[in-house]
Amino acid sequence: MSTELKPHAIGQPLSRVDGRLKVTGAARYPAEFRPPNLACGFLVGSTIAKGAIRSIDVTTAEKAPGVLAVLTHQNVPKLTEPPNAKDSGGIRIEERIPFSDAKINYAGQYIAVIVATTFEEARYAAGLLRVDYEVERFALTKEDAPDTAKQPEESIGEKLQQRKGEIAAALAKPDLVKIEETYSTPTETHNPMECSATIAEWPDAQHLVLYDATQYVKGAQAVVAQAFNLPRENVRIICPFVGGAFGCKGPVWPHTIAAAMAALVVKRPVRIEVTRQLMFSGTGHRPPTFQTIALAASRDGKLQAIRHKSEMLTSPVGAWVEACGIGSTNVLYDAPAIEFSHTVYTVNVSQPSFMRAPGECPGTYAAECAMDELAYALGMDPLQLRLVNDSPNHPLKGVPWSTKHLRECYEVGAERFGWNKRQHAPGSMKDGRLSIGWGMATATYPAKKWDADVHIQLHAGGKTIVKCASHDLGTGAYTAFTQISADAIGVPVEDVVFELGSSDFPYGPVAGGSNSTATVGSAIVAAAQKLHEKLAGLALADKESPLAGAEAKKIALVGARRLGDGSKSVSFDDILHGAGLKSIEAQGGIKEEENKKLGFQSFGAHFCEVNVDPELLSVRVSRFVSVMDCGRVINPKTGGSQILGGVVMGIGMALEEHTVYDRQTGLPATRNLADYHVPVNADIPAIEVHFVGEPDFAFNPMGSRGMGEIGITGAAAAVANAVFHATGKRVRDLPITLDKLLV
Amino acid sequence: MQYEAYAIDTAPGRGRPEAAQKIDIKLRINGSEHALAVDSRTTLLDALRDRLGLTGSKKGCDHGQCGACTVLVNGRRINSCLTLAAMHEGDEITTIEGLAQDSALHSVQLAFIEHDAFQCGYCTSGQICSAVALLKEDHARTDDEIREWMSGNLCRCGAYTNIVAAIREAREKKAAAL
Amino acid sequence: MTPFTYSRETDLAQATQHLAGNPQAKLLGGGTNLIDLMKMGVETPAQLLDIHRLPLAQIEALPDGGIRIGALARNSDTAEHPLVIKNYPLLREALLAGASPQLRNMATTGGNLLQRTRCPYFYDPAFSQCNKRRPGSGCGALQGYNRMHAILGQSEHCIAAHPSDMCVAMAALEAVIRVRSGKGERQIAFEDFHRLPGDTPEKETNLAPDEIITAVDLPPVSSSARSHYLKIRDRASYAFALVSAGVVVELEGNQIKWARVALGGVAHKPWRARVAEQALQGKEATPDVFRKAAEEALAGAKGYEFNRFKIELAKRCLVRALNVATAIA
Repeated sequence: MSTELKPHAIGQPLSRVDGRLKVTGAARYPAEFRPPNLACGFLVGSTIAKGAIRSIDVTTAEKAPGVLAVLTHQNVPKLTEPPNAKDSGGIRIEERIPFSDAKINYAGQYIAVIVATTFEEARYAAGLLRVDYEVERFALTKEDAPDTAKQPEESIGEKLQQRKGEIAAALAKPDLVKIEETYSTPTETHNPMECSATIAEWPDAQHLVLYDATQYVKGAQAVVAQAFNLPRENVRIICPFVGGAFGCKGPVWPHTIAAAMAALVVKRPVRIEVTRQLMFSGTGHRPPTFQTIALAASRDGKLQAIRHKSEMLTSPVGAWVEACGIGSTNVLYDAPAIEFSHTVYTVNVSQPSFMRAPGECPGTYAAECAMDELAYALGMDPLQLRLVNDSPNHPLKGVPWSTKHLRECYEVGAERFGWNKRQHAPGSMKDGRLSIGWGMATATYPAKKWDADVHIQLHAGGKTIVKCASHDLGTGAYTAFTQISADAIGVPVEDVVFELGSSDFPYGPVAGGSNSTATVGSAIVAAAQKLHEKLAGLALADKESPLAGAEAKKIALVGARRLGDGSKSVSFDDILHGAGLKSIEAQGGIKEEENKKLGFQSFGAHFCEVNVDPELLSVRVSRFVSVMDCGRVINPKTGGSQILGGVVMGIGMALEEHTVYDRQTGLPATRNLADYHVPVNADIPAIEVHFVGEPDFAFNPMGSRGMGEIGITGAAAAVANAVFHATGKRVRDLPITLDKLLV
Repeated sequence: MQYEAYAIDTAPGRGRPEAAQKIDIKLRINGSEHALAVDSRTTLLDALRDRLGLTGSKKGCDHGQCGACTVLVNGRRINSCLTLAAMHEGDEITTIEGLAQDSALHSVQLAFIEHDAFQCGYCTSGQICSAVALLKEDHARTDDEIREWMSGNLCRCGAYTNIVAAIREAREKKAAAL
Repeated sequence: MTPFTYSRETDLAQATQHLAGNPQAKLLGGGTNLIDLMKMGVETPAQLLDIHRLPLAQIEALPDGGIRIGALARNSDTAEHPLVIKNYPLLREALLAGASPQLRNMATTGGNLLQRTRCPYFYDPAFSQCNKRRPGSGCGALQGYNRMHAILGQSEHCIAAHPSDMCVAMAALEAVIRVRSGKGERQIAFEDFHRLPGDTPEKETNLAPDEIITAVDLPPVSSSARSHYLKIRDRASYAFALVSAGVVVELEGNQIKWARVALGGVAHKPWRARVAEQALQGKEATPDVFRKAAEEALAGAKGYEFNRFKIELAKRCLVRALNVATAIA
């Protein structure tokens, strides 16, 4: 792309434009809208993992005070959904429509929704259902379901089984230093602070409004419209704020369909808030992975062979592959022979789905632990091993990276961290009684950019309203888009009002894959160009304008609210005044294009210090330094927060997080925030984040690449490697809880 | 195989009333008195959010495990999800909506904005109410003390480092003002 | 939550009468555990007697040098009370190791004594098996996810663990629980208050249904005694104990005059480890002696698939607590 946006507001550490709303409690999240006559729906989950409902006795529940309806598979409205539901244009990972039959596929599957006038009434009545199940033997692990093994060719456009060179021969070569180990990661659950929720309201039989906590308003619109056989424009999705998502609010899940069904039945608006418990089965999770990595290197550390076999689980109600090989061993380092494969097993657990850096996150954990093991096998410093293997090209595609400053990440990180003071031998560093461990790992995440359209309305002498059906999950999108709009349109940042979170606005893609800033930012620039062309047209048509008679091609933004041709200029407001207009509108956008000549990828380096009590084996992260190359940083304050958050989640992944399923019932046994540990404040030390690199203008006019996910990649490996360095124990099964160190 | 939806004894009877009791209460919130009739089962959090339109206090878990619902009752921080509305007649309740004086934000609110001590904003009301109480308790003397005494407020976005910085600054400003 | 009637109790005698007259009633103190369990559908009282404003929140010195902590004293107030800080630092440490500041502002002494297990098979009624919640239904934890469960004193009917930190300190401090009913007052030694599960895990304490806890008395502790509460958990704060140890030791030179030892997270009740106390008494305060005492304390321990590590961890926890209390390491 030729355009390079000149940064004024971009690059400034602007405080969040929605900050005041959030610190005063005034930011309104979807479940907080209050259409009149709002009723409450309460979901009931199955207590068995596989089988069928023989019958549900709803008589007591229906008679309970306040109950308006009890919806089950016996009485829900039958949806006329066409068979190609997946192709609606939105995202549905759990393909089964809720309540579509009596079959139970996993524990927690919704079997009923109670609708009552109040939450208290609905919750109480849920306990009054009596269910007769036909129970079948269920599978929870890959060992339970060996026959279900599949090796899909593709997942979300990525080839899952790939090789370069002759891997078996490469691994068999003599004189190479080799390691081969299996790493496992457990089921992890997103647990954003805001539980998923939907308020459904039917203004009439043909129109549906959903206040829905979603990362994809246009996707939710498409899926719901198709499910209820409505024209897409008859479905409105409203979601100005999202209380965290991390992937779980990308697809449309059954509760959203259930809310719309319930509102249809009771003929009044219905709110369904998924309880924290049901967030463990109703809105996806990261499935457990089992990754066997073989690395072979020559004595100088150069990788000669990389083999990465990944196995993972999915559910009976949808296909999902946690593509651990993608975005880890296929991009991190080059070698003459690389092979990765993915095998997925189907078991009776709820549907896994996107969770922050799906694939890349567990993949980089395993790959970067394997690199640490190789470093020790070679007797080489782990950072040195990475430096030796830093590659200018995409290892599989062979094309150069657009920009890559990983070496700078390593160097700045090592300097800030003091890596050169590290003693190589495990267990060799002490702080009084405590063992100290220093570990590092590489972070990486692809830069993605999809389709978006943006609408601009510029008011003479006033605000500029910019709209896109995008989302702010806490990512700082409102602020970053405001900054980009200011620079692209050429107005002061305080004059921009960016609106998002409504399907009424022009198309924005799912806020996932760290794409939003690149995608929507590019669309803002395109729309701003349209706006400038329109303004230039007005100026040229105005005989009294200073630009009258200028060469149209030469007219460009020359300053705040000003167009000029190099010699003369005129303000936007004078142009509008001259044309007798109070405001002007323009719309523009971008379409995804594949660039076959360059690879677009962000890289970074994590450095972690842990201390471990040698007797009690409690691990505490005491220091963390992350250095990232994400192109130009639109806002170092909010961008830094994205990396911080990724690191914190990575620390949780390394040391705490684990959704455990009860073998006897298939129910998650840790389905609450007391038993599913996410890091608390006391777990988190000071974390330093630095950015290096240069604007990636080959990628987009801002030169930026996404930041939402890269922070978590490699973070768990840095912690795990530090734990090894402190203790000499290599725990290859996350989370590293103290019992695993006590053995 | 016969299961109850939940293996609990919830059926009417055993002395239980058929319907919930309605209780007339007056709640004093952010300096204003609100008279309302609540279901005896209504938590303070649900009364705030569903009955009074004060949705600043958040429901993150509904079981006292996340702190998003933290409000101040008589100046002390509590989890509003684990207390019944009916228990609070006569109490002085302060929610996030009541911290700013007129349009001037509380120093903790300002510090949270300045230090980017939140991302999605969903835990923020609870964090801020908790921090305001923390400063009053004088449990913010060191960074480690802030970390420990703010550990009842989960932040899944991982803003902890910035939350500590914000509270540190609010503490310093408070000390300077004395 | 099942429907219930709510009454605001203003007088202890009257509350006692109301409780006695209604076997389906429950007392409501801080609410942190009871309301949670009611939401889960585990507790289904027909009536809630809200006693949280009864004047039972005082903490006062007793003539013998001990203190009396009112049943409705909030955990945070107890932890911050000057007499507790000065004379019962063990109790303060234990209280501050528990829950979160918000929960400690709500939770009461009496409620903490009656805190129920966090066993998921008990807490989550989606699990049909729990002898505590539904006597006779079996124990889901035996073959289930039992990482947080008991290793001492359990039975095949129940392997749930008591979750309280406060109670571990009180066990080591030999607290006495004062209760009242229509029949009058009585005192229950701390060790006799909580029960082991046996074949009636649904009965957790020896409190009669019509009795109200009014206070906890802590006997005086020699001013030269030292103590420490150590809690080991899966995250740095706001987590239940995997294991914990509360110890009080008085030294004479380097010789242990006497010791009181209690363990948490290991049993259906706060676990007073008298065998460890005997193993310590009169001995030199050395790591070896501590380790031997810990071996004694855990001698009968039995682990399950996911919690076997707690046997060794509890020993190390106790050794460390003794080390810290006696300032040996």
